[in-house]
Order: sequence, then structure tokens, then C-alpha cells
Amino acid sequence: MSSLSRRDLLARAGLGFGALAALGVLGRVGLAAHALEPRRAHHRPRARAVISLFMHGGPSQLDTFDPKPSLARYAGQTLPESFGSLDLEFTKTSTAKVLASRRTFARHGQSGVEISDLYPRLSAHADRLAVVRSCHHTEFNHSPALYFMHGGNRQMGRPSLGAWCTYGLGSEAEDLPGYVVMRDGPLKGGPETYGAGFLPAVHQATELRSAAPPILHLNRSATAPSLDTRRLLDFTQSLNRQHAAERPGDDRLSARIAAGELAFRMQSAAPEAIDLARETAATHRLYGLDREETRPFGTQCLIARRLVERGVRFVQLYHGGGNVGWDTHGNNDGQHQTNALQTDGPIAGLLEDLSARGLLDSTLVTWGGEFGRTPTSEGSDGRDHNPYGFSVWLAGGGVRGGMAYGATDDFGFKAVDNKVPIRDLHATILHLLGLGHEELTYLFQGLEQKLTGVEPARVIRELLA
Amino acid sequence: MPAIAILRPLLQTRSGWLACASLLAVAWGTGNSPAAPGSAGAVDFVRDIKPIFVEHCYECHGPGEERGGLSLAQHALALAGGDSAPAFVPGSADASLLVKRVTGGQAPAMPLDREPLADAEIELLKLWIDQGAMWPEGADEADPRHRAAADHWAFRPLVKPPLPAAALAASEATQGEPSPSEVIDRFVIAGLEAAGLHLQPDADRITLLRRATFDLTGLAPSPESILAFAADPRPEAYEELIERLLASPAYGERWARHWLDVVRYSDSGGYDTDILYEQAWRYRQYCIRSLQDDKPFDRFLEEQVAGDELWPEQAEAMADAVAVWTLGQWPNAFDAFPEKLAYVRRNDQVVTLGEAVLGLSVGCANCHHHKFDPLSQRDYFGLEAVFAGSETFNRTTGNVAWVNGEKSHFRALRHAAEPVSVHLLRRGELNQPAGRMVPAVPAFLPHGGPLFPPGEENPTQARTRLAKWITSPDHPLTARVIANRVWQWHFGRGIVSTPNDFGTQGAAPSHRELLDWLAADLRDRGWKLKDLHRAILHSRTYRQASRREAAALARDPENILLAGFPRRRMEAEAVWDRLLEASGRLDRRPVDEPFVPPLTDEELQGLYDISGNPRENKWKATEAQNRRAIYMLNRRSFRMPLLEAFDQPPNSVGCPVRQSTTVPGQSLAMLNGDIPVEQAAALKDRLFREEPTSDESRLNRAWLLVFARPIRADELASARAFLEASPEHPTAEVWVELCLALFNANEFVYVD
Repeated sequence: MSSLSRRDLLARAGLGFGALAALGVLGRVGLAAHALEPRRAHHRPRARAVISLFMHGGPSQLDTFDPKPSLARYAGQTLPESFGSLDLEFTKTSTAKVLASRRTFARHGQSGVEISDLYPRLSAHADRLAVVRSCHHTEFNHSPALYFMHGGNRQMGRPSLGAWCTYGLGSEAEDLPGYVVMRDGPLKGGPETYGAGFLPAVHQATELRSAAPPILHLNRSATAPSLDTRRLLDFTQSLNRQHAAERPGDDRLSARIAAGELAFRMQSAAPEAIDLARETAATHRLYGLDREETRPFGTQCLIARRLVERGVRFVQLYHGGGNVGWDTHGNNDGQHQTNALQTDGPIAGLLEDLSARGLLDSTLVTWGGEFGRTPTSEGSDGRDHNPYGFSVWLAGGGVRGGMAYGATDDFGFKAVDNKVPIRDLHATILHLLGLGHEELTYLFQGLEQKLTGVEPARVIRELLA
Repeated sequence: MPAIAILRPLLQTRSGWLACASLLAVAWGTGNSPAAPGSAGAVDFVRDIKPIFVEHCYECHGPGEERGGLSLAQHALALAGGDSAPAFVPGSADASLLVKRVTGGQAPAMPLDREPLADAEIELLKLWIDQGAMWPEGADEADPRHRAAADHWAFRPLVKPPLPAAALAASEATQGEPSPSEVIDRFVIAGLEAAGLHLQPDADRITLLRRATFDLTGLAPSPESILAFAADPRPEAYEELIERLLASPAYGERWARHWLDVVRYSDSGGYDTDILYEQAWRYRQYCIRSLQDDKPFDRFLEEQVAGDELWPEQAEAMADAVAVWTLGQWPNAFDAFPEKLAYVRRNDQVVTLGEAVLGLSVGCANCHHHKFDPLSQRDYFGLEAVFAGSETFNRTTGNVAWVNGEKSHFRALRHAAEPVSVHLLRRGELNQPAGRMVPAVPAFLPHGGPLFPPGEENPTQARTRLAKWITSPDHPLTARVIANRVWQWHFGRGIVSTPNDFGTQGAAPSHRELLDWLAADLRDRGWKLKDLHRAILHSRTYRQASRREAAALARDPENILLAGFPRRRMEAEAVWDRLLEASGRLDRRPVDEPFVPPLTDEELQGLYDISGNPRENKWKATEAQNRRAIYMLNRRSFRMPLLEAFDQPPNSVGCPVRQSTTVPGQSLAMLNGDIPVEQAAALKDRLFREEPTSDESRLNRAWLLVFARPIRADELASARAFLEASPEHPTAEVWVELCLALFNANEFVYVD
């Protein structure tokens, strides 16, 4: 069977392994016939799941993971002429004045990774972090930058990293979707940010809402007549079985029967997955659920762990949704304190909990935003967008912790050493999951499309354990 | 001693072109070198330079290879240079990038990760450039893309191929010229026979009625027409049915929806503001009207490409037609950067034109020459130059800039007062211009190249020239591309299964000669799509049952050869239309401004307005409702959840083939969503209203309305059992359960 037709077939059946097995269709359809069935990686994977902590708006590298003492020395002056005159969103590099960070940095752990005092609890996990200080891309506006970080390209409509992962690996979750998104507000790139683009729609993210019901259409509206779903679905399935029996050889029909059953099971599995009453009080405290400021993101982080335990492949969390978030055009320091306060405890709790449960070795945790911020000020106390040099970090599954990789210039403006284009970051994440970025392709618009695009990408071996 | 003469023997000792050694030795030995008199002999490109390129550079910069955008295989490409700058400046070796790279004077040193050139080779290169970098005609290395293109079926002239030897049973064959339907059958049967397969017998009349009605109108036959058609044994009954369906206004609505997919139609611009295109519906209505009227397809294309220039007397209608170029994505982040924004918009126009009309992935040549097809960056930017003479502007005036509380734009196309000049851009980057472009069409196609003689470019006629080029009878692609699409929309799969890519990387056609025949026939008989529909719908290939025999499943699992009609799942819009049609709620009147159905709060959570405005502004339920889905608001940032569950595309770019996925979210939407539940309740009411007397008649009518066929005895029994199983349950709710169960059945969404 040609690869195209195989893909067609895969696209049609987005079902749990168990669902197909239960219906006895596996023998005929074959394992390959189902898009979210766990699939063999290209090489030995180091991680089997990803939790991506996305700081929406663009956190400042200069106040978090990339200390630049020279900022204090040059505060109030313009950057040296060698920086030229770049138009940023609201400022120009030639005229904006250097803004010192008000944070203090210290070395943490055995490794001495430098982290600012915004992250007192995360600092305890310094030896687990591989901080990349030299990320860069070209897009200094939010939505193109968001598309770039998720889909490797500034254009809307490309598949996001999570969709590529389930496309490449399927999912091990039987009663839950393979790619789940949780957010605390709207994203400047809209839902297309975490979309499946041209990949089969089965790889679309399912948005899990913190308010009940967690998945769209999981229950009927309160105004709907009270109907016995099991009873009516049984009747539907009896019609379907006869219909399919009269039409031998059409796998789509049995696939849709199975999808109906999975949908029914999700009605109980999804609420169970987000039912945090089943977690101990100690766990609630670990994630900061006992405190007003950390409860929202702590809830996301704890649900993420529960999803990973249940075989979900890719969990995408957003902090800072809405119009401000980490987008600190004004009050950079104050806003970073607020944001860090809301996320430090939950992230540290997540790393600690994953580790205690033996999940951290197989779960890749990533942190970052769509870009960093300028060393210069916008207004009196803000920082503008800066895609030319910014920090992200990775931890867990297969990552060499306790290191900082790459460097920006003395002002923390542009990546200069061991520069990491986003395609390299994506290639590295795919690599940890056992996927080769050159092998993970999908034919669209006449091209074997790749997450990493046409320019050669490099797996950053230095980050691997 | 001439420098050239010194260099040559040095080269012989280490270079790989030993084949040339004897020739050189002769030249050396006799002193009869081709060098011109003077201190430095003339370097000969073919003898001295090309071998250096072949040995050291071709792996990355050879024929069909353009690492960094640079090819050294042909004079024009080498001169144009790569992403960084021209490779060499004739007459000045020192200023030439090529020299800087091979000497290591500028990083990265070339050849990349390989042994550097010998000093003698470098000296030869320098000498050659200093002497003017002469590159004789005929020294180009043929581009494998042009070789492949020359042989590629879709780029060859379109002529009607001979018919295969009579494959029709004697009883089927008519005297004289076979009808188009018979031609289809002959080609299909020939393909089947080669695989030892055969057509299925005709589908039963009721199946055929539902199939043709769905196919041409997106709706289902009424219960009355089902019974009447089943009872009408006349052979003409089917022909009359097809004529009735083609004449129905529902035909234009159904087939315009197909075309809107291809041209990435949307009512908004996407990105964070997702600005509303207030009057995009004018283009939607134009398409419905045009298809309904069976406007010749060449005229349909000409109107969209250049109607404003060609028929200025019909200014209003033509403004609607050319509005297609204004409906692409609007990356508002670039609002403050007009040059960047205009570039993104032109890119959308070129990509859409290339894929929708030409079936070529022209967009691939934006940043680099196309990897597989003979499309260069010149071809890409030549098309951009066509569109550069026109600009998108906001026609909104006065106080109509707000629609339903949302800021909106009425985008329209006009000739630019000062046309921007388009440059070829290295790597597609705006800050790397490399030569001004004139309006041109892909050079490798017939009549390709600049659309005007040099110096006579007229920006207000550029689209006219483009339109006439597209629809010229000897264009090899236009007719093939649309004939293939029509076939795909009837059978679910095109003869070319990559309908936007007829290039060398596109899928090979399953029935190449049949496609050529149909395309040529379409072109030769006035580009009437309804004639093509008739040819297809009257064929045995179309009328056959959807049953698949074991042999066909084994030998042709994807049903490419068509041993059995391909069963299809309804598209998202058809699911909406059919739910409302079955329940009796479908309002068949067309509307101009898109209608917006109410959604639950839960459903609206997927919609957001980053600027903090009430998100309801972007999905504000309108008075007009329950219309066909083609009239529903179609936003780029938010898809109606029920339609999204059934694979409605996001329309950021054109959608050549609808996906047909089966995801649990789809089942949840149909089991629990307000819309299916409401329609199930409405269907229950309708059944009791129209069949007040008995459960049996109600059930039969339910089957007619939902599955478009009468109920069978065994089904009647099980449905009765379902109704009676829980006597404590209120009758009304049990009936709603039954109706919802029918809507969730595969038979509702799959058409045989």
C-alpha cells in the first residue's frame, strides 16, 4: 500500500487501541490502521511524553536565566553603535536606553546554574535544568513568533510540535486524547497556535478546560432533554453493525463504531483525569493548590502529571494568556514578580512530583515563551520584544541537567555563542522522543513537509544526557 | 610564460579530471594553447573552469541542486547568485564572493567541510573572473527539472487520446461516436480489465437517487420523491432526475462550496485580530451564481483574475469576482510594516493562483528555486509582479465600519496608483532584493516568460494578460486541473490524487488518458461544467453499486480503479444541512450577509478576542438562521465546533481535499451537542405532526427522512422494541433518543 493511502487510512481512524481490539477489528484493519495507536519511534526514545510550560507574552531572559552584570554598568545609556538600528515593536535599538535588572542571580546546585531570585523553589532543581541561553528567531510580533515556536514557521496554519509528536508516535492513552492543551486565557495567535495544520485532524489538540466539563461536548447542555446515552448509542451501534456487515471491506465504518465507544468512555475518563480530589493534601500543597496565587497554574501542572500517567503524549500548558501575561512593555520587574510567583511553586512541584514517581526520566519538561525581551527599556520600566536572543530550558527525559548552553552578547540582546535556531530546538525535542526530524515528514503542497523546515537542523547533542 | 600555462600541469597532479589530461598535455607540449596572446592566456570555461565546479561544487551547487540558493550549473543561475550575493562579479575576482569563499576570506569557507581547492585552481578561477567570466552558450549543464518536465505528462499539450479497444459489451455500445459517458466507461473498464476486475452492476434506484441528489445538491431526496422515483421504471427517469438536480438552486450552493475550499474563502483575516471581511459574501454569492448559471469555466477564471480590466462595463459584478484576491490571511502584526504586509498578501495571491488554477506549488519557489519542478524564483516573482499592479484597499466608508459590534473591513481590489516594484528576493527576504521583476508567467510553460515586450509593461493590463494566458486553449494545465477537481468532487478522489500539484512530484494519474480526454472535451465544448457532470453521472462507472468484491479489495484496496462506487462521508457543511433538512428546519432561502447560529457558552470558549472585547462580538447570533452551511460565518480564528468536528478546513490556505477523519470529538459533538439534540427533538415533532396515526408510519418516515430509504421489516421490529423497552420513560424522550440514534448512525453520514 502506498504511503499516501496508508496516511489516508490512518487519518480516518482516531481510536484507542482498546476500542479497536474490543470490537475485534484489529485482525483485519491491522495495527497500522489507527492513527493514535502507539507507534515505533525512529530510534530509541529517551522520553515518552512532553509537558511544555509556555510563558505567553515573552518572559525576560535578563531577569530569569541569563544574568548580565553589564546592564547595571550601562544603565540609562544607549547600546554601543555596533548594535545598529533595529526596529522592534515599539522601540529602536539605536535610541532605547539600557534597563538594568532588579533581580539578583545566584549559582544553584552542584552545577552552579545561575537562576534569578524570581525562582526560589525552581532553583532547588537547578541540577535538573539544561538552560539554553542562545535561542533566536526573526519574528518580533506575538502571533508570528508563537507560530514559529510551535510550528517552526511564522505562518499561521502549520502543525504544532504536539501534533507532530502524536503524528509520529501515536498515543498510549486509551480513553483520552493524545495531545492536550490547557490555558489560562486567550493566546495572541489564537487556537491555530497549537493546531494540527495540514496534518490529519486526529492530531488536533483537545483543549482541557479547568471548569467542568473538561472537554467540549462531554455532557449535554442543562436545557437538553434527559436522554439515556448508553441506550441510544446501543441502538445506533446495532444499526451500524448491520450497516457495516452489508458493506464488507470498509474499515472506516468499524472505525467510527469504535470512535463512538471511545467517546462514551471519555465521558467518565476525562472527568476522572482532572478529578484532583483523588490527590492527597500533601500533593495539593506541593503544587501550590492551597494558595490563591499558585492554584490556577498548579492545577494545570498537577493535571498534566495525571495525564502523563495515563499515557497522554503531549501536554501543552500556557501561563499568561490574555493581553498582558509575560508581555511586559511596562512594569517589567513587577509583572515578572507576579508571574514568577504564580508559576515557580507549581513548576518546582511538578519536577519534584515527576521525579518522586519515577516519571521524570521518561517525561520531557520544557519552559519558554515566544521570544525574550530587550535589554533596553520601553517607557521607564518596560522591556520590548526580543527574538534575537532568549532563554528556554529543558528538564527530564534524556536531558543533561545542570548546564547552561550558548550565550548572548554582553547585553543579553543577541545570541552569539552556540546559537540555537528554533529548528534545532525542535529537532532536539523530537530526538529525545525517538523521532528523527528528517524522517518525520508529511506530503503537503508538493513537499515532504517537516517541522524543522527546509534549512538543515541539528540535534543539540550537548544537551543530551 | 602565460599564467594559464603554468597552472595547468599543476592541476593534473591533483585534480580528478584526468580525462582532460591528455588534451592538456598536447596543448602544453605544442605550445599551441588556446590562450590569447599577452601575459595571461585566456581561461576557457569549458576546459578550465567547469571541471573545477564539477569536482568541488556540483554536489551542492550542481544541476538541480541549489544549496544556499546557488547553482553553478547554468550561466544565468550562477550569475544571479545565491542567497548571500551574486557569486561573482565579472571582471573583478577580488570583489567576487566565490573567490572570497574558496580562499577562506569570508566564512563559511568553501567547499564546506571538504578539502579546499588547490592554489592553482583558485588562481584559475580568479583569472577567469578577471577576464570577464566568459561562459559560452551551450556550456550549461541541463537542469534535471527541465528534463523531467519535458517528459511530464501534465506539461505536454492537451489532446484527446484514442479510445481503448472496445471494452464495452456489444449491447452497451452505441453506433458511431461514443458518448462522453461511454468514453468514461471504456477507459475505466480498460483499467479494471488489466487488473482482472470489473464494474459492479448498477446500484439500486433508491441508492442512486440519494447518491446523485447528495452529489449535485448536498441534500437528500424528499420522502415523496423517493417513493415516486422507486416506482418510476422509465429509463428516462434518471436523466430527468439529473436535469432537475442540475437546475436546482441547491446545485450552485453545493458546488460553490467546493470551489470556495480551493480558493481559501473566509469571512475574516485570521491572526490575533481576525478582522472581519465585511462583504466577503459578495464573492461567495458570485461563485454560487456563476456555477448555477453554468458560466463557462474559462470565463469564470478570467472574471476572477481580471474581470475588472476585461469587462469594466460590469464594474460591480466584476469587483465581486476579483475580490477573491483580497480574501487571504491578514497578518495584522504587519499593519505597521506596509511593505511586509503587501509582500505577505502577494504571496497569498501567487500561491492561491498557482495551486487553485495551475495545479502547481508555485509557493515553493518563493525562497529558492523549486526543488523538483522547473519553477525558478524568477517565475515566482514574475507572478508577484503581475499582482503588484493592484492593491487591496478598504472600501468601507462612513459609519458601516462596524458590523455586529465588530470592527470590520470591506476589502476590494483596485489598480495601485503607484504600483510597487517587485524584486527578486534572495531567500525570499525583503531586505535582499536582487533585480527588478516584470510581470511574467512560468517560463517553462507554453507562451511563458514576460507578459509584455520589454519596456511596454502596463500594470493595468497585467492581470488581463495573465487571465488570457491561463485560459488559452493550448495551456496544458488549466483544463486538466479543473476536470480532475470535478472528478474528485464526484468520486471522492481525483484521477490525480494531489489536485493542487500536477508537477513532477504530484501523484501519478490513475487514468491519465481519461483525464486528458475529459479535459480536452471540456475545453473543446465550451468549458461547461454541467456537461461534464452529465457525462459522469450517466456513466456506468458512476451508476454502479458501492459493493466491493473480495478480489477488488485484495487487488485494489484503495479503490483507485473503481470496481465499485466509492462510498463517501458527507462533508461538515452537508452534515449541518442534512440535520436541518431531516428535522424540517432547513430554511432554503439564500442570504447575503453570513448568518451566525447561536452556540453554547461552552462552545464559545474556543473563540476569543485578544483585545478584550466581548467575544460574542465575533460570533453574534443573527436573525437569519437555519440556512445552508455555505451561508454560515466562516472565520479563520474560530470554526463552528460541529463543523470543525467533521473536518471543516481552517482555510488559512486553500484546501484541495477534505479530510474525513473519525475522532471521538465528532461522536461527542453528535451525541451531546445542542444542535444535533435540538434537531432530533424537531424531527420527533415533525414525525408526530406528519404521521399522527401510528408508530409504524412514523418510523418509516424517520428512515425516509434520515437515511433516504424505506425502513426494513427487521429494523421496524428492533425500532419498536427500542420504543417499548422502557415504558416508564416518557414517550417524547424515547422518540428524541431514537431520532438522535439515527443521526449518529453511520448510514446518516456515509453515502453509498
